[in-house]
Amino acid sequence: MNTEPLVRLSRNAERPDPEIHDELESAASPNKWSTVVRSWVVEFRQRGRNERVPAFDSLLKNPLPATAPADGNAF
Amino acid sequence: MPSKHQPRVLCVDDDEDSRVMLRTLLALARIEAKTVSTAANALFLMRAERFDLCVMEVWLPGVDGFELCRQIRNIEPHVPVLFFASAADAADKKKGLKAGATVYVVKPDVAGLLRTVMHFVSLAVRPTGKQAIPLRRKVKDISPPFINKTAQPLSIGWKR
Repeated sequence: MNTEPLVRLSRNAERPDPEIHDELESAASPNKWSTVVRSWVVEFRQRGRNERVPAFDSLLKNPLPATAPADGNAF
Repeated sequence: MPSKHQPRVLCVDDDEDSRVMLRTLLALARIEAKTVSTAANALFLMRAERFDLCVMEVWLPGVDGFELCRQIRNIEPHVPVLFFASAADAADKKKGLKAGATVYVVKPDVAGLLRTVMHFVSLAVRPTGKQAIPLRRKVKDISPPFINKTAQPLSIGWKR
């Protein structure tokens, strides 16, 4: 049975600077999000669902080119 | 009061709308973003300039995001790489993380992206004068910055 105590190392380098973090947090508040970001999200949601359908349609409309056997040994 | 350097993020996305959105989003967070559309341009900039973070799409023309991530890891092993990708499958996420990505965020989770970016930027940005320590640097590699090796030995005692 392992009785060694668990030690958790916390490095200062991996701890966010609270002052900078707060500053960035307030700067990036959702209230300040521009219409560019909002409209991109809306458009992406609409486009994301639809963009795969044309891709499949074009794949079905354009059948794969017939491949000739490389050395005449067709199965 | 010490000044802070403005964080810089490199964004790689072949979709122009996404590039505009990323620039706008990061500008709102007072983060300078450079955007490129190809892996080749991203690698050129990574070699030429300093970035605190790299945000990229998986689906890129030519070299894809996974390969780009591997190549960036060779150039800058310590810079966090975030995928902000349309590819939402678990296999894609796994592939991205295996390629060396720090975080994988699926589009259009802008809030998740921003939270992650802010987390890493706040780690990377330190007041001028302090040494910014790369995230993945090992503890044994970190030397105390306050030791002046050229200083004369300190003598203790009374002057006669």
